[in-house]
Amino acid sequence: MRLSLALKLIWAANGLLKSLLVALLFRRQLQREVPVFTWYMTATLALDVVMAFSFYWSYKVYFVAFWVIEALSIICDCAVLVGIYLRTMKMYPRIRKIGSTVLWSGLAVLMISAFVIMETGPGQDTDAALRFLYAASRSMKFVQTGVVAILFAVVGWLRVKLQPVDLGIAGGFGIVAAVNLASYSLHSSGVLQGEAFSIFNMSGFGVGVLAWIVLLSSAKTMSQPAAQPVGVANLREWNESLEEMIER
Amino acid sequence: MITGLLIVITLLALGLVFSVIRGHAPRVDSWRAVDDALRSVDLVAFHNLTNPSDSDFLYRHLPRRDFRSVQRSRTWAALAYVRQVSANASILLRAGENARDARNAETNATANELIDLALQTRLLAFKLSLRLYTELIFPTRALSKRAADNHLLDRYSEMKESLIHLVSQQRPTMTSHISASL
Repeated sequence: MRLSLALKLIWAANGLLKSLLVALLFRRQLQREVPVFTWYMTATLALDVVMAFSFYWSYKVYFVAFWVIEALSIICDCAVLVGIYLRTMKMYPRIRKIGSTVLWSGLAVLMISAFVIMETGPGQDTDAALRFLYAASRSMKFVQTGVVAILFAVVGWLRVKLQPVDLGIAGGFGIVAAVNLASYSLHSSGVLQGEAFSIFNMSGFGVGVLAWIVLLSSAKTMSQPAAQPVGVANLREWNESLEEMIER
Repeated sequence: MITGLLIVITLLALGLVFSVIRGHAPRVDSWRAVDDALRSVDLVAFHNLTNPSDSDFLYRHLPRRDFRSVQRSRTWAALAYVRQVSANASILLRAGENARDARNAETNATANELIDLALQTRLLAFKLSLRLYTELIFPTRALSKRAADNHLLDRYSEMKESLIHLVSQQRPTMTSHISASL
């Protein structure tokens, strides 16, 4: 199987972006704060190299490896997102219980909906195995997007604060999951096929990695002191208070 | 149809992600900013609006159709108050989070208490809003009872006390000014 120049360029660009991301994670010593995400990204980068070799060596090996890695990565993505959610809830004891209830009941609803979606819209591929793989992937992407939506909906609704690094990681996963869900959905309806599907899907991943780089390069880490807590180390306010007291 | 639905879900999820990343909560990095962001809520007026005896009086003296219309207007007004209470709670939640970074243990404890109360207030405001929206569709005399059962005002008052305590620890000269803003 031959790859077009556009696909080769996107593949190379994604590899480059992912290398930049891994370098950024280690340079900012984020592996201490988010070890699972750091090692997960490093592992996927190494797997990309293995996949590139297997593609030119044997398409069958590449095909099987691609779908196994796809399934494992969706499960890992969901685990990272659930970890961020639970860590955020831990910081607010008052809403921990309601937060857990929302998450687990939401996940149950997502799983049932994913099964229904898989059964009712199997897609248009002529090959039965491919049809199953695409439908299953779309359902898993649906669950992943749902987990992202639950996380951001609860954070937005209660106006609680995600740690900057967590916000960066979850934001990137959100973009990747949403674009992937859109591309798999358009593929199953026959709108996106063949190379167009691959380009759309891989570009979405590239945008997600770019979002990770942008968000994580500016995110404050836990080890950095807070910029200016209210009333603390605020020279301007301190001077104003003094002036007010003198005026009295 | 499923494709259309999934595309809508995708767009909604992306919208949520971008709105949280952009940060829709007001920035409150000083007590002056907190003071500017808070909008005063007339608790006495809200109490009067949801007074059960007022509802009973209106129910007894107005024709049913007029009663429903008046109750809807009162419910809209109550909703505006609840929304403002909820918005103020979100500002105080952010202020509490910023103050939690202080090294002083007492300030830290007060900030945590303020965060707890602000979250409780937001949850109660959400519950009451849902009930008030139901009341808009089916106006009854229950509006007052529902508002009273909710304990939103009690929690709001506790939150106000906690805020005064926190400001008095960090910026004593602003205590009276900020408490008046609530």
